[in-house]
Amino acid sequence: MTADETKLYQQLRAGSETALAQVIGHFGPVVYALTKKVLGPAAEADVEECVSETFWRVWQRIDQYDPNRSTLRTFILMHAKYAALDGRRYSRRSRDKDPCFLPQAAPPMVDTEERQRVQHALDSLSTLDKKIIYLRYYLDQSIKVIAKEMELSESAVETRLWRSRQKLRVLLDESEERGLVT
Amino acid sequence: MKKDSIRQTLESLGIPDDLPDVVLEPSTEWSRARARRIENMTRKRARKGLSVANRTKVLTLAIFLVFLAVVGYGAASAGWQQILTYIPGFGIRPMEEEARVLAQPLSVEEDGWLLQVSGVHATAANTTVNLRMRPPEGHRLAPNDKRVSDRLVHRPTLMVEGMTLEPNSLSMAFGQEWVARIDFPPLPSDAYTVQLTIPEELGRHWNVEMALEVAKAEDVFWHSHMLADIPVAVGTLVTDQEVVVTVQVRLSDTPALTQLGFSSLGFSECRQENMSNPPDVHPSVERRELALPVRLLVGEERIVPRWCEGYVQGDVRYLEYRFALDGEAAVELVLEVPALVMVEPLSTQFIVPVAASGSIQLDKSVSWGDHTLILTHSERREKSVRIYLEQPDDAAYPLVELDIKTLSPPEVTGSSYTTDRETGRVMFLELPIDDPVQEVRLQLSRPHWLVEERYRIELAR
Repeated sequence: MTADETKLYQQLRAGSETALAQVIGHFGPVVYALTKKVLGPAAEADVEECVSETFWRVWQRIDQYDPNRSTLRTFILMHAKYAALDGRRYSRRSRDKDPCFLPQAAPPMVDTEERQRVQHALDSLSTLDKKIIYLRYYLDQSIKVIAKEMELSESAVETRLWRSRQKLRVLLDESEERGLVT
Repeated sequence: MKKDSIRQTLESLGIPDDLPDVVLEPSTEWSRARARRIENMTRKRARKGLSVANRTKVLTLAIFLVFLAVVGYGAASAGWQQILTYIPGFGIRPMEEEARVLAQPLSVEEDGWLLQVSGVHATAANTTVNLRMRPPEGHRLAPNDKRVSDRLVHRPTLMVEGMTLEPNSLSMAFGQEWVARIDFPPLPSDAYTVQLTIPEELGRHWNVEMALEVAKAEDVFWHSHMLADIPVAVGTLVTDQEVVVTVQVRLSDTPALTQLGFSSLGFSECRQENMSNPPDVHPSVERRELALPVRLLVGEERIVPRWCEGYVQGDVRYLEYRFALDGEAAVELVLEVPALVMVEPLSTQFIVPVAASGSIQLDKSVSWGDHTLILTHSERREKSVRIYLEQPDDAAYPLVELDIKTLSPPEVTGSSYTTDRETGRVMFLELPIDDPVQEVRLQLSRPHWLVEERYRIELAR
């Protein structure tokens, strides 16, 4: 974490609204882009609402952030993803008519070593395959949407995903056996 | 690691640091004005402590408070206490005023014939009795039996406090046994002992005394989930002897094609011997009766329901499962819900090369409707040809059963086998071909898909 991020984090913990504004200014563009990507075709106001929800969650849950496990940016993006997925689900269900569908919580993050191990495996993929994996598993895009964006056939996307998964499995199993930490 | 899906592994790691760089184009739409708007919205929320998600809760609370103000705390409190109850045979449902239920399930055996009263639900409006009659082992209900049952020439009656209550309506279902739900007029308000008489039905005269008790509110916990595209609410109730799971599906929230699977629910039921079948070829799929077989996993052990039943209330279909479970002070359970999803019949054709002996790597994908099959390899066996395939981990509805025939060589019918029961995604197709063919032109089709979703529910006992 950079010195600036550390400072922002400490100020957020102290409840500083100025720090909140700085966080929005600093991370807003990437959160906005990610939210828009997950929401797909959505009204501008809905995207903004979702981005605001993200920062509100960050503000509320800053105590859960552990600087030893991830960067502040990762923490914020994780909340952005889940806020956007919740937003997408709400809009699909229309409609808030069933209060049973509560927002999903972001899963607890695993430790840094494990993250590095997986990141290392992901880095071994080609840029295209990595992008497809990210779009599919992190941004929850449908095969159809990915195929359109990457200008590939749906079948090609499926096949690439399948090969990438096989490769990741092998790499993760190997690194688990060797206790590899990069 | 192998058993975990990649999705689960990646999910637990949070967001990779380079995700925005790899996936996201820099947003050209971000502006100072937008930042200011979002900042203002977020500040307002931060001050009010109100998220979008919490609004629903707050709204619910507000409605409840208004309700309290209107009807008075005492009445509301009583209503709140009575909100849910579990009635065997009727499931977990909102509690009716002054409901009485069967104190103990009843079974009466005579000459190998078994009469079971599985539930009674008596309210101020009516009295409903659920019962089933099972013939002796090996005895199949003859058409004549069914005809008699269908007509119910001798209608069941309730005797209570010297009165005889005739049924208002009667619904029945047949199978290896017959199952009936009978509606009677309301019982006198102080009646807790009732006699059910089924005169001369199927050549037997049944007379059983039923003890009733006032239904109690229960500690029912509701969980909500998406099952593929179907929203389901799952209620769980843990007692000393059993775990009761009620899955609630609202037809209006269900995709039209899937509704077919639920619409037929009436008296669908299954017994333990049915539920012990492997999940991928569940007999209820054949019968299209019980759309959601549910199992519980306690550690590695899979527990099948000792009882399950489907019933209907307006737009809502309920599926009730009762698991015998005792011993542990506290258990953690995984609830698996494979769902039958009815979709349009699909078929596809493709050619698979076959070696004279041994196997050929294929590594080829075949698109099929919204789905993809990865053909991994074909294998020449002594009297057959096997084609191995996998379905992507993220396939929405894994195939579990296929209808297979060949176009070349002509009209050979094959079978499909799931080799990975855990996920059902690895299969092979066995074709009884012993001719020295170099390729097989296949046609696949399937009558339905199975969806399997899992989620974890912790049950404190």
